[in-house]
Order: sequence, then C-alpha cells, then structure tokens
Amino acid sequence: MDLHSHSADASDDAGGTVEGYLKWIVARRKRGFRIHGFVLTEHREFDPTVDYSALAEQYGVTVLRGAELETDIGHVLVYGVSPELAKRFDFSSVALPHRELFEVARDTGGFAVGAHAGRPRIGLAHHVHERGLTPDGIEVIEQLNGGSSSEENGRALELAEEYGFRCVGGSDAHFVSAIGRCLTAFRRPITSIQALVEELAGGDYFPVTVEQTQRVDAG
Amino acid sequence: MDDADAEFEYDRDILGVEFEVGQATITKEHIARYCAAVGETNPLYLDDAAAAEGPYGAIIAPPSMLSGLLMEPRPDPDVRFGNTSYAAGTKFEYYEPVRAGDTIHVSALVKEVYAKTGRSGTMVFAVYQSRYRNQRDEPVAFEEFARVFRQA
Amino acid sequence: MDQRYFEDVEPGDEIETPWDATPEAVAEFMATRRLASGLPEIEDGPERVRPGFERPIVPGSMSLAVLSRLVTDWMGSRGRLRSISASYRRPVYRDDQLRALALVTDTEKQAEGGGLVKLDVYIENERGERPLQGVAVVELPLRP
Repeated sequence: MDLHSHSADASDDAGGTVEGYLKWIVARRKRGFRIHGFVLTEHREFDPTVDYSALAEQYGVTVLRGAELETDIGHVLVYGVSPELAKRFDFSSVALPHRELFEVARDTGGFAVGAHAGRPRIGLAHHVHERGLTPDGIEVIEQLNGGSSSEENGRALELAEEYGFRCVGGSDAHFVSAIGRCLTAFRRPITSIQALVEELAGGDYFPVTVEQTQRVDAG
Repeated sequence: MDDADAEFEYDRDILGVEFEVGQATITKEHIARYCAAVGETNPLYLDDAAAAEGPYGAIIAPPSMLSGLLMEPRPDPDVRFGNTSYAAGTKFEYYEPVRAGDTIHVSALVKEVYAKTGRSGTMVFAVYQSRYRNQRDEPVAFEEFARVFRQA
Repeated sequence: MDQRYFEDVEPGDEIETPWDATPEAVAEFMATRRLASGLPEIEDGPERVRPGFERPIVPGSMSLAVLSRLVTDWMGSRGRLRSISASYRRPVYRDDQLRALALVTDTEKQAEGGGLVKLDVYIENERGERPLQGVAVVELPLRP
C-alpha cells in the first residue's frame, strides 16, 4: 500500500490524475509488481465529498483518502480524518501544533504519521536534530519516501532507530509513474481507512520499494 | 493555497498586455550548434539528404530549440518580494515545425501574479505566456512559464 | 533512426539515457541560445555559482532539451512531440551523475491518424532525487 500521494484534482503541484495512477498500477501489476492500492494525501485539505470508489472498483485498486498537513515539526500524514478532527484544526494552516494534532487524530479514530522524516525543514529529523525538539506522542514516521534522496531516507532511518519509531513507506507521487515507488507492506490486505488505522496502530508492517515487491515468475 | 494577504507588490497594469518581444531567424548553422550542445544526432535536424526524405522535406529545428531562445526584454511584472527568484516550471505546446531559415516572432504577456504560503514560507509566482509564430504567421508553439520569488 | 509505432507501446515502457552535462556543453548551449536570438555573447560561464546554489547548475531549458531529445529520438521521424512540461523542483547540478528518463503512462488511439502517448519525464541524479519532472505527449503513427 502506497501511503502518500497527491493528485492534480487537489494539489496544484501535482501532474498525475487519479485515473492515471490507476492505469499505471494496473500496468505495473502486469509486470509482476505488487501494489494493492494507495492513499491520496492532498496538501492541507480534506474534502469529505470526494469519492473515487467507482474508479477504484473499475480498475481493481484500493483508493483511500487522508491528508498531508503542515505542523511545527514538519509535514504530517493523517489517516482517518473525522469531521471532529477537521473542525478542531484549520487544515490550511502551515504551522499546526503537532502534539495536539497527533493526540486528537488518535482520539477521534484516526492516526498521524511524520511525513518524509529525513527531509530538511519539512521532516521530523530536522526539527529533532537542528531545533532540539522532543518528539512526544509520535509513534510512526514515513522513513521511506519516494520524493526524498537516499541520504534523506537514511537520516529518517537513523531517527527511527534513535527513538524506536515504527516505519512506513510512501511514494509522495505527484506524477503518474511515481505512484507505488515506495510502499508499506502489511500482513493483511487493507481495504478501508479504518483497517489502515488499526494496522498502523497495531504495528505489524514495514516500508518497501516497488522493486522489492516484484514476483520473480512475472514477465 | 492562494494567499491574498501576503505582502508583495507588482505592476498590476502589465497583466494580460501582450508585447512583441522579438524575432529570430533560425539557420542551419544555429541548429547544428544547438544540436551539438544538447547531444542531438537526429538526421532530421542535421542531414540535408535525410531530412529531404523525411516527413518535412527539409531540415527542421529540434522542438526544444524554442525553449532555448533568449528573447529580451520579456514583459516584467516588477515583483517586489524576497531576495531571489528562479524558474518554477514550464510547458510547451508545439504546432508547426520550425524549418531552417524560418523567422520566429515571439510575443509574450504576464498572465498572473499570486502568492502561496506553505512548506518553506511564502512564495510569489509570476506566470508568463509566450506565443511563437513563423514568418507565414502560422503558430509554431505556445509556452507557459512560471517564475517564483522568495526569501532565501 | 527506428520508427516507433503506436501499437508497440504500452504503459510501463521505460527509456533512459545518461547525460554528462560537461562545462563545454553548458557553455555551448548558453552561447548558442544567445546567438540564435541575435544577442551579443556575454561572459556567463558554466562554472559560475549563482547565489543560493551550492555548485554550478544546468539551465532549466537545457534539462528540458535533453528530455525532449530522449523522447523525440525514441518516437522516430514520423512521430510528433505535441507538448512537454517540466516542474523544476530542485537544482540540477552540473557535476552530478545525471540521467534522463521517460516512462509511458498512458496510450490513447485517436479516431483519425495515429495515437497519443503520454510519458512522465525526469532528470534523476545519483542520490535518487528527481530535480526536474514533467509530462510529454507524443503522437505516433499506426503500423502500415
């Protein structure tokens, strides 16, 4: 499951459409790559009226929705955005208080993850190591991010080892062919946002690159 | 997120006003030098005989050569924000090919100027559009280009 | 140059080429663009480090030209580049190990003529960063 992506529908720096992502995943599967689905995490917004279920069913790919919000410790991916959470925070803010966000997300049936944790300025490692911040209330970081360099992902891994964070992977796709480049491997298929939240809280998963998912018997 | 409250100034009167920016005659020699610089070896651009056999009947310029043209001065919205600026993105649409010997006329306008706040602070974007036409007044290309201004 | 036909292309196809942006090539690119535009040559060598950058960078239009070359070489002489876009996300440093990549993301047969092929295009460096990425649309002929 790719836990981090943006589409041209709602992120103006993205060139990929949801249908483009779906076609690409179908093409990747034909080449033996195992991509079950992806979570759209548009920048600084969550529109509860958007529904991709018909498209998702047409292509046989799971499409879930979360949000990428901006906090005082960098960007944060939120899964399971409840009306209550949306009411508590101004998603368009670029400096949300991270402690409250992580806490309220959990209390309202969701789950928050530190995005692209090794990236300068917008990732958690920078705020911990450069600003001396204590990462209270954070359990999981996006260690493997498709938009980050290998050095930045390495920095995120060091942070995870230092603080005992669990790790996920996401492509941070803005363009079609980036979707699914980095993923999170779960023990069971994820078909709903509730199941994703449960799994994230439960802890049995790890980040993988798309190459690591390829079936050796595929053409 | 558009940020109408961000503090920046620019020349609003220039928005949407199309200027003739200049013209350039693209010779075979220019094409050959350009191809050498960017590693183009396509005979359509370099070989008279092969190009004569090709779909255009004569040497044409690589489409990207238009993005390499420097036409000055472009309309300037005089954005007063930050201390640095750089290219944010570009899009080219191509219509008629540029044939060796064509004279390309370029006109340009400032489409919009807006601010966005996020990630690493406020950034101001200026969006320019350029039209490229040949000496027969046929459209050759359309370009939309964005420049970002920010505090480094 | 081989001709590419619409029927031979499917989403997932990849093409790539290494790109050595030598100081000489960058200097020649900058000189050529001024020459073709009828502007006098100026001293703005490829080794100049612009404020805000760590090392000499490659002009965005040169990166775009290399992506364009990758796609037009692949499509063959009867293909047509309809459009190409690029989003400049990070600087392209001249002395990085660069490669240009294109991946077919969608194909659509047209009612008349050939078919349209959409490709994601990237410049990638040895750190796995994609400082420049965009989309190209080409028109390919059908097999005779």
